[in-house]
Amino acid sequence: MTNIPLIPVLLLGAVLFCLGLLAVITKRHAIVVLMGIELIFNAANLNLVAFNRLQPDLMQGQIFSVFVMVIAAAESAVALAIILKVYQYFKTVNLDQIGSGTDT
Amino acid sequence: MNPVLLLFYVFGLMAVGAAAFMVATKNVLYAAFGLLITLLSLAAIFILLFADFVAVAQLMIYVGGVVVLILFGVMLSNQVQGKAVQSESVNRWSGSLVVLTLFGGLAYLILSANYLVPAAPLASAGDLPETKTSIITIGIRLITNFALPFEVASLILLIALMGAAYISTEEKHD
Amino acid sequence: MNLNAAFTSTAEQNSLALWALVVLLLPLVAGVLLLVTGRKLPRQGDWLSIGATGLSFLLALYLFFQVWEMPVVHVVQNWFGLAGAGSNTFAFTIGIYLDNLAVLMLVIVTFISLLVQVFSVIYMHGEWRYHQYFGYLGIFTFSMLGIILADNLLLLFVFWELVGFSSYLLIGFWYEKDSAGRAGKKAFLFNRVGDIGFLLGIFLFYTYFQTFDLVILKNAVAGGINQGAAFLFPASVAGNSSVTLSYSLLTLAGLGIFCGCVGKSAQFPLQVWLPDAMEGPTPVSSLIHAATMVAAGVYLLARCFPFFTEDALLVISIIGALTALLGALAATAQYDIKKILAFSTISQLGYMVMGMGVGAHDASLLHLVTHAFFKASLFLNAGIIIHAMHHAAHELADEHSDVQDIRNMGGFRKILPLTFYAYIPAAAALVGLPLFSGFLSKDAILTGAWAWAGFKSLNGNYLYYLVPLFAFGSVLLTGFYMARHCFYIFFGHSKLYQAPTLLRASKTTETSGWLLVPVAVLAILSLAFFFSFNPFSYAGSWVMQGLSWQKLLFGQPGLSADLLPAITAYLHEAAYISLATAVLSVLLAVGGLWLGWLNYKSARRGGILTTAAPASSFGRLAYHHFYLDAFYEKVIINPFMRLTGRVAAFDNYFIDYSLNTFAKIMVVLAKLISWGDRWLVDGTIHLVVKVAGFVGKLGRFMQNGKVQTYYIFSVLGLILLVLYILAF
Repeated sequence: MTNIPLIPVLLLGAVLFCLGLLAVITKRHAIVVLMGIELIFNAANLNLVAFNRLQPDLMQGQIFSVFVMVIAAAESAVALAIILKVYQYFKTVNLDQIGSGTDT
Repeated sequence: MNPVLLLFYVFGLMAVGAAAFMVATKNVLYAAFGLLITLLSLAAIFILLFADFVAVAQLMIYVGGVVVLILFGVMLSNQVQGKAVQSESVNRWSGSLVVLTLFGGLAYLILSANYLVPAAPLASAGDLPETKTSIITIGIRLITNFALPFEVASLILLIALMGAAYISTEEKHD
Repeated sequence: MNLNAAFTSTAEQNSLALWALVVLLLPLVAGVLLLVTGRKLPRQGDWLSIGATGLSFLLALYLFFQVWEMPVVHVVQNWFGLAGAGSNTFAFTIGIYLDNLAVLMLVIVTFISLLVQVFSVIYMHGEWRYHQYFGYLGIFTFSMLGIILADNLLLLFVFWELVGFSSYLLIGFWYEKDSAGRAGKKAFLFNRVGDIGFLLGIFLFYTYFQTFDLVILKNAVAGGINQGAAFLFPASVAGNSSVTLSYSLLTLAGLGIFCGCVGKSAQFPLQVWLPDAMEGPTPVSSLIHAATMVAAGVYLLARCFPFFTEDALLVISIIGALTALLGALAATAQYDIKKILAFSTISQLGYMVMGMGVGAHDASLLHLVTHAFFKASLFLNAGIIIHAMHHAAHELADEHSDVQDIRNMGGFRKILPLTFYAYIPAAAALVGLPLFSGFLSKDAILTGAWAWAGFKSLNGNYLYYLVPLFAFGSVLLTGFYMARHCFYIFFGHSKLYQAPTLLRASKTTETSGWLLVPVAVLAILSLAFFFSFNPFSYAGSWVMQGLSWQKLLFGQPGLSADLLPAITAYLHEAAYISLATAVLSVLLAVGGLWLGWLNYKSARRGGILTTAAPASSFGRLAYHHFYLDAFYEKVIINPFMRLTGRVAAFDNYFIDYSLNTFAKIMVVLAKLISWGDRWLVDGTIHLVVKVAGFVGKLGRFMQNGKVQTYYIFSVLGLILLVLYILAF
């Protein structure tokens, strides 16, 4: 198996992180924001996996990436439940119309 | 060209392209599919990085769980009547600016960081047996070194399950 | 000069002087009160003014009985002093001088002022500046009383100017009317012209005698020794050292004082202001032009009689005669009811001045007294008629007809009978018919003039007879114009308002008693009985005896020392003059009346009752008052206006131009500064505001309650953190 250099992986993680962040910041749809969050988790996972190979004995990176996935799954389950609840209450999942009640 | 590296770049580009598509499209369903492709590509990259267990977990949890959940969420939270679910954007310029700046900063950090371990060989052929999967090691570590986090994670999953179930139920007031 | 002698006065004299001061001040106090608070008083305070004047009149009567034919009251106080060269100071005194003339004038002025104010109650009713009118009358009366009481020339001049000022106020009372305002100004300015001469005369006397006090001056002048071409005043009378003054200088000084009289008493050539002064309210005309203001000039002549040399008296007599004739001539051509009386006043004042000039000092003063009554009566009479005409014009809404034109009147004898009966005595007195006061005084003046001419022409120069000739001619003319006046107004038929009800107050009453009573009282006082127990002879008149120069001047005629005794002696020799004058004047007066009747008849027959101006050239000349006004306009006013026009042009083109340029520069500077203000100062402020606004917006943006925005900022914080890490 040949090596994959560290820096492109980290850059890929950074790009994914930024795209996820962009989705979180700019999207009005709550579910799309949730997708952005998932993307950020994945970017983090990528980094964890990449750094895992600097000390492969303990497998800390991979184990923590698994934990992150678990947390993310739990998080998305709860978040989706909240979104559905919000939708029942406000009849919308538009973040700008939720909460303040204004429609800007 | 190293075929592994080539594969990495292919999947990397694929992940980035799908993620960009997810951000750019207004259609929420398309965005969900963009996310799906990104997650699949990442799973492939994990494999390339010798993290087969993580890649499998990625496939199972994300592709099989989260994305399906999201799709259900999309479907349940819209009065879809033959019309695509739209998602408008806010803070487009300030968001892009902030994100670009952040990326610039991150890239600069990544490129200029002084790594304690020489970066070039991420894994030497001698250090790790190439056929050996990481599953055994992970399993051992989980029940030895990382038993407590493992238990805590299971607890979190349980709580999240209960919480999600509680939130989703119809409130029965009086 | 021994001033201390004058300061000694008994307690009785002091009290009399105090009462005189009260008489003087009462009208002033009332007038000022009215001017300040008049609008708030009930009836606008006319009762206050009338009451004060009435009280003043009673006090004047009291003073009259205390002082008449009694020793003179002269009370002097130090006024102020001026430091002179070295250690000596020039003391100025202020004092009250009460002799026969002063107390008589006090009574007359307060009495006529009282009657005029009573008359004004109705006449000025409804005037919106009613209280001001009475206030002005009070001030005017005060000034006139001041002239009478003043014991020195300086004080007299002060009151003299006050009279001019208050007459300006009264003549221009209806200043809304352009002509009234102009008439007031004209009267004031023409008086100023005379006053300049007056002031110069006063200065001349002060320069050589170092005193304004009339008594001291009289004594000094009486002590002068005639040296032919000059007078020598020894040290005993002229102060520290003897003074020698040339005859011509003294003549000039006397003429200077006479100038004041020319202005105030409307003598040729300054008489043009008087006809215009008819623009004032009619009661004012009555007060100013009968008893007070114009009489002040003659009063001044009487007070200053010792200061006139023979030559000065000659000039005075010529001017007086000329004025008498011109005034009478002008009166014959007038149609305005008041203008005729105005020119008649000029003519009568000419008589008085001429009387002074020819040495008939007593006769002149007698005429002053009698004239005051009958002329006041005539003016008030005219006031009633104008009032009635106004009433009629108002009823008929007639705004075009001239209510003062006698051609628009006629037949008032039957419509306003009481007015007519009050008119007759006064008019007869003016014409000089026997039994009426005017006969006495006019006769006295004419006799004096004739005697003077006879005495003067003893050296063979018969030109002096021109003066009495003018005077007799005026008598004829007086008869003529008064006949016109009378016939036009009271006989025939009214052209405009024939219905009696239009002119009368009501069917039964002719007009208000407030109007009639003063006129009637004055008309009764036009009878000769009141002035002389023998109505055909002035010689026994108590007034004339009380006012004789022997008593007023203590038998010291002053600079014309020899003239008066000589004339008296001459008259004593040529006794026929008295009788001839009496007969001749009556004949002339009757002849004048007859001519006037003829003129009126022919005018009626010719139907020229409505033509605007006389057709004949002489008539035009007289109608326009010999074009004196036009002459002044051309010779004095126009060049002066041209001069002022040039000065104004200089002002405009040079001074104003500089100013304007300066102003423009200032404006440009101001523009620059404002630009700087707007862009620099305001700009700074706006910038601050914008920044604050921007910060505010940013703050609002940061706190807009949207989680995504907060997220952007937390990411920014992250970036900053990264930058920090990068930087260090």
